This record gives sequence, structure tokens and C-alpha cells, in this order.
Amino acid sequence: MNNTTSSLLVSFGGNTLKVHSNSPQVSTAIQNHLKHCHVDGQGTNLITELSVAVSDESTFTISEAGAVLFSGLNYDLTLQLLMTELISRLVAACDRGLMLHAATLSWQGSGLILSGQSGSGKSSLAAWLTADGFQYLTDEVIEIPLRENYVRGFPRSIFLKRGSAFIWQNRLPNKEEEGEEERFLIFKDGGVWIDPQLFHPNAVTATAVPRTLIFPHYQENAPLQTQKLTSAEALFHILQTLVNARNLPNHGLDAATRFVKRVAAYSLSYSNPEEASEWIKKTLQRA
Amino acid sequence: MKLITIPKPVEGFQTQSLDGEIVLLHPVRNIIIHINQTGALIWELCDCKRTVDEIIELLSAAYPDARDAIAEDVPETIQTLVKEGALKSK
Repeated sequence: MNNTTSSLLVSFGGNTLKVHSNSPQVSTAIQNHLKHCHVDGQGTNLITELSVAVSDESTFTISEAGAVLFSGLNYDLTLQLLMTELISRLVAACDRGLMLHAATLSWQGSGLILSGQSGSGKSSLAAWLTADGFQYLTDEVIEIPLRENYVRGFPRSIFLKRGSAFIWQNRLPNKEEEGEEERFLIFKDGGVWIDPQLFHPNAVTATAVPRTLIFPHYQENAPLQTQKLTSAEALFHILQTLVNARNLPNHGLDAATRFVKRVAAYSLSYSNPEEASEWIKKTLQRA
Repeated sequence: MKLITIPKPVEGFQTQSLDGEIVLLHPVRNIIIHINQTGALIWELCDCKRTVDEIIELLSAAYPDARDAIAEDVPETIQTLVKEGALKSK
């Protein structure tokens, strides 16, 4: 049993949580893959504390305020669940802006939001576009402050599932063999966490002014299909990815309406990220 | 599903109109509905008083060239909105 516990503060959306771990392996991985997040905790509310305990060399437990959330976990599942839980806590507590499930990037000053649920292909596109020179804000969740015109991302490392391995295998050749775990963590199921700065050193930015909103839909072997959306269609889709509606005035409807009026919105079906990336660049240049 | 005679909006929806289209949000039941411009005209006429036939007549008088399409669209749209939980029978 390891008796040394380290702690990490993670902040987003005006709130902070503390992660404790007596596993150096878990602490290091979480620190490495949240290193672009604002982590000093100053000026924000401490909402909860999550603890990871390793009971032997390979079995982990995640607790919150003394109550066990998950037990009997392996290392990979511990990291993935911890990341999911800490994001969901921060997002659910936010009442100062819209929190949307979305990847976000910046291209020559224009903010691009890729909004959709898990499995929509937003992380794959975000990784591809980052490798193409876009700046990365997040692949998971954004905050749109109620009275501002910028968005802020939760800049964890990019998470790609096994099915999207071709992206890093093409864009980061030999990475698997390099043993650079602090920036590239591969899980046993083939998923990876990738520090966006592996794609290019200037890859991460904190905020962007949104100009274009895309709802991607990855479909195997599908041809590239795009459609310009009306503001009402965009609002309909955005409301489905809004995760803190209950904290907001009018359940976020007015704020979401103001947001969709400011951006050009599209739906995008794709199977080839290269093709999708080219269309996105042309669209942003026109915006 | 049997078509209702006098459609009535279900309570609890917030409504947002945008360029002639409508988005309905029911925060308690977690229902989000998008209604296009044609559907929005029909929705606006569902006031708990008008029958489906009266709605068809009103719209047909306003758009006489589209009389046949209106006769099909109105019952279909109302049935869809009933199915999605936005309308019910008075």
C-alpha cells in the first residue's frame, strides 16, 4: 500500500474540484493529460473532491467525499472513469454560461465548434484538424459565458477510440514505440490520450470567437454530405448537447438562441476526415 | 393513431420563434421539437378552440393555390406534434 497521496486542482466554468490519489501512476497520468487546463483553482468554488486509491498494485477505487463510486477497477478504466466523472461534476455545477458537448478549434482567428454526442466523430475530426494546423480548445466540452462572445474549452488531451487509431497512426508515426507516455497514453482497448502539442507545438489555445457551428455525423463509408442549417435547426441540435440547462435562466433557451444567431451552422456527414477537413477549411474561409 | 378534433398545446413548453420556424422546449419532460415554417403556421392556429377542419379552411383561404397540400399537411403535422408530445386533444 502506498501511503503518499498527491492532489490536483482542476478548474472549469467557474468551479474547481480536487483530485487526490495515492497512486503515483494515476496522479502522473492525470496531471499530464490535464496539463493545459487551468489548475490553480483561484477565484473559483471548490465543488467536490474525488479520490483514487490503489489497494494493491492493480486494483483501484474511486470515491467522492468518502463514498465509493467505483471499485475493483483496473488502471485504464480508472483513468477513463476519473476523467468522465471530473468533467461531469464541473459541467453540472456551472451556472455562468452554456455548457455544450462539443469539440472546438480555432483557425486563423475563427472559432469552429463541432457539436454532438459521443460517437458523432467530433474527437476524430478535432484530432485531424489539429494535425492540420488548427488550434485546439477541447474535444469534449465548452463553456459559452452568458454575456461574452467567446467560448472556452476544457483542454484535456484528445481522446481517440480504437476505431480512430488511423488518425494518430498516420499523423504521428512511430508514436506507439517511442514510450512517451507523458504525452501519449495508449490504453489496452486501443484508445489513446494525445497531448495536442504532439501534433504541433502551438496547438493549444484557451478561447476563440465562434463563427461556425458544425454538427458532425461519422458514418462508415458515407460520402461527404453537408447542409446549411437554419437558426431554428441549429437551436434544436444545440439544445440536445446542452448539459447544464437546469442551472440557467429560462433553461438556457434565450442564451442558446443568441448564440445560434451569431454563427453559421451546418450538418456534416462524413467517413473521410481528410475530405471533411478540406470542406471545413473552405467553409471557414468563406465565413 | 386517431386524429384529434380540437388540438390543444400541452402545458409546460417554452417557445422560441426564429425566422418563421419554431423550437419547443419542455424542460421537465426533456422534449425538444423543431417545427418548420409550414408547421409553425399550423402550430400558431392550435388555440384550443379551432378544429382541425377549421385550421385547414383558414389556411386554404390564405393560400388557395396550396389547398390540396394543406388538406394533407395539417392532419399530418398535427398527428406528428401529438406523437412528439406537444399537442393533445382538448
